[in-house]
Amino acid sequence: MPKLHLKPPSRAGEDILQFEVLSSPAMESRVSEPETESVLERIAAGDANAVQECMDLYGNLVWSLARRFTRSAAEAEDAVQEVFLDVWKSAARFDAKRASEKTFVAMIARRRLIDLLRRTEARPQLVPIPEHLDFADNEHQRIEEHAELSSAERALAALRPEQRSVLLMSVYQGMSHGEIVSATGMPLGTVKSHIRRGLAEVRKALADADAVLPSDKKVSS
Amino acid sequence: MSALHERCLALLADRATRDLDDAGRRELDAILREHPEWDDDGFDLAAAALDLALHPTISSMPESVRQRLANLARSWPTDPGARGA
Repeated sequence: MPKLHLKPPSRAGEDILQFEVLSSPAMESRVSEPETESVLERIAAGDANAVQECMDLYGNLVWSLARRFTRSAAEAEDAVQEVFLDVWKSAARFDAKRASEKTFVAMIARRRLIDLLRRTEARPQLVPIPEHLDFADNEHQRIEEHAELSSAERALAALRPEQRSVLLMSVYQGMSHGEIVSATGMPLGTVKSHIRRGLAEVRKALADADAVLPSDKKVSS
Repeated sequence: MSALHERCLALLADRATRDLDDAGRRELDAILREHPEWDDDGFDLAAAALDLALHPTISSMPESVRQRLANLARSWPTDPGARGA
């Protein structure tokens, strides 16, 4: 995975972080794995074993998201169960042409956790943005996931600095739009516009990522 | 693109980034009832992909949680008609 290097402000009064993406040799050497039927497709087809496998595959991912979005382990524990119920119910909606299974599961988890935050009027744990973000280089990561995440990172790095900064505050730090307004002094409309345009660029990059994916794992626009 | 479609996209972006309040949710639901073809999780998928890319550290789920989930998984009906999805 590439490394995102956050440079400190280069001019007085400039409060927007700058980025550069450094390529990783591992990123170029990834090889495709044999394709197997998705666990979500098997759940949708009524395969009871796949329900357990889904938990084994994505339990740690969902737990990590839940811990970040909740205030305590007890809240996270309840949230994880709600997320998995949603994932299992939504399994038939998974479309391998649009996203990897991991991203789909993360999307369902984020939606449920965001709902939980709204219900409890809580806020996720605020994580400071580090000077260097080193992206994971998981050798067991499926190639379509790797291509997706690399595309997302590159799209982030290519954004205008103020768009990138706002999107990082939202997605990395979990700040609400109002909190970003307070932190940056930008008008709410500007914050929303930066987030929307930033997400649109990432979405476009995910769609364009199909050039490096196996034919049955392409992401549609 | 119409002003209503623009508004729909703005609400979908809000939904993807934890900023859709109850009024916004009702507004989005109403728009999507009128234009179901605009219902799109593209922003949600983009936010999820970014989230995964930016948070590579995955922590292990505690065994107690794993056990509760395993019980939940065992009780999950394999008959799609019984799931209430």
